[in-house]
Amino acid sequence: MFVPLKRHVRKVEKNEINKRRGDRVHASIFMAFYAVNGMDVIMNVKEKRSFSRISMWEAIRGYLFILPAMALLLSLLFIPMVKGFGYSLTNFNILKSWDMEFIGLKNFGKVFSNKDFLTIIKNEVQFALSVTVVTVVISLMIALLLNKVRHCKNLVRSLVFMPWVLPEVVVGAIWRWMLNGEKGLVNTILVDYMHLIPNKIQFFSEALALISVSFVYIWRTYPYVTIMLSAGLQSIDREQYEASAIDGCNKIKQFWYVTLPNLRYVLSICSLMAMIWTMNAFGIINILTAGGPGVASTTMPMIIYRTAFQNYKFGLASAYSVVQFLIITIMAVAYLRVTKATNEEA
Amino acid sequence: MKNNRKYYIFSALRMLILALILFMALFPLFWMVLTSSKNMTELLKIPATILPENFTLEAYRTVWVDKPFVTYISNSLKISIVATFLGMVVSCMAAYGFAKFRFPFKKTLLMFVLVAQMFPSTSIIIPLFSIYKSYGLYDSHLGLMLLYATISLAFSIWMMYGYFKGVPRELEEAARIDGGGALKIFVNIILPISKPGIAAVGVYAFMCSWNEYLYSLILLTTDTKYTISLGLSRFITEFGTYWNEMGAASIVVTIPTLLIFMLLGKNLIAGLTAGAVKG
Repeated sequence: MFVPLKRHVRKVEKNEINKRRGDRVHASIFMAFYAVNGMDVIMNVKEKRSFSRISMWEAIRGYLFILPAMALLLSLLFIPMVKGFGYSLTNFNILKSWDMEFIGLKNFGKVFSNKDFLTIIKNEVQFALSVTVVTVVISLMIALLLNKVRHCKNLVRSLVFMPWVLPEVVVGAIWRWMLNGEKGLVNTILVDYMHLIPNKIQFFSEALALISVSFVYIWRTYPYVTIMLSAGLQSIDREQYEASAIDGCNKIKQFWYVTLPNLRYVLSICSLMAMIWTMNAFGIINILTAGGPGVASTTMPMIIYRTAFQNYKFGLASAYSVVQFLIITIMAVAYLRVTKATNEEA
Repeated sequence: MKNNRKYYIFSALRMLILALILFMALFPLFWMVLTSSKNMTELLKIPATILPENFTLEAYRTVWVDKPFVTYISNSLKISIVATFLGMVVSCMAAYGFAKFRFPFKKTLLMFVLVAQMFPSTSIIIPLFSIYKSYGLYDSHLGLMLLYATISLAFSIWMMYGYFKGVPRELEEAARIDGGGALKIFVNIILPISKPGIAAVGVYAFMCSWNEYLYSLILLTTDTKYTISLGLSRFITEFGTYWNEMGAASIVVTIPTLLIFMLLGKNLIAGLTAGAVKG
């Protein structure tokens, strides 16, 4: 299980990526999640297909052990998901649930002809990309800094990590108050105390809503990425730094040629996870702006929620969620292509 | 000599930046504490005061006595504890099954666990709503417990899977020779060895349930059944201008999470980063 990262990465690249190129999406979804932890499934476990009596008993016992978990996942995540795809082809309305008709692709027609649809897609992509990129850059810098800390290392780490464990609703409440247009702390300090700018900034106005929401999500996501990257940094072989120093690399070159290549794997997983989280983000947006004003900060989850639980159009909302699912898949695959392309160059 | 000075300047600069980062991470919560200890007349002043002029815990009293936050907290505690326990039992069993038994379709099933976790919650919630309605789980705590046990399942299974694989085979074989069955070995040998992993998974699962918002927003309607996240969000939309009370409520909600994080956070961080460190 616990192969050193470097060897591990090499192994992964050689065995996994090259061998299963046809199976890209499958492999990439798998890699993205906890892949660092679980890659040895593919590597070490060889399924035995010939059965003796003993191995049949072993299999049955194995199945019994995993049965409860599978039942939960199947009934509460998988079946609803499939059912949702089905709903997207009907005019299901929860207030008129008795009259549910198959209407083919009409819902998707409605989705694409919605005049706000383009804005929402733009919001979603802009939100996900900006949060992911800024988070990763900030986290990398903080992680580098964190690894230079000598005293109270664990305490500092825990403190840095803290925003990530706060409940979503609390994060929403905190920033709703901090960024308040009249009496928020940020405005108070900038305008009333330091007189830096003449007027108070309306953070949740049409122009700034999405940026403010992105900022709050960055504030919440960077601790996780930082901690992961900092752990990744620690696992880099010190010898590589020494060797590169002997070869005459300065700090910047070391970062470029030693640190980054070694971090590549952790970096790509973290940023993919951050991106998927952001694309599914709901709680904080709902507390901060509820998607407003207008559709200025409406992303896909917000429109799905609004369509389903404020307008009760379950069929239409399901169509939106199918679209969202496709967007996420496309972005994840595109992302993995891009990072893989750079892998192959190196 | 010159080098030495440069070194000191650099490390001082580093400390400064680090302090700034910590300030950014911690101050917003502290600002909530400050806000919650002001009274309403002070909060209406412009420019707002930074430190409270007359320190008062009135807001906490209001939240605790006049508003139904005690109910919310006990609801959330009940749901989170049951969900965490259920999730742990189920995920440890599954992880053990995956780690120590050979059976066909193991790869596929492990993959399924991962993929199921990736489904966007907003897509699941619509069908789940009607499923819950037709099975009588809508607006019930049982439904939420089952759901919360499920949402952290993938993480827990993968974590524990890694731990269980690390347990040396000899230990189990010795127990098997002594005549222990699979379940007995699991309970007596594997579980005690994996305590740090179990703690990490437990913290994660508890926080997932305690912090969860979207599912409770949609699956609960009765006021007295609200979880803490839902209660707080309703409070924000209804009494959003009573900032001191909102601050107090937020602090009250955060305290259990912070307590657990302080006690077991090290395990959680170690668990989360295990992959990155050990590969």
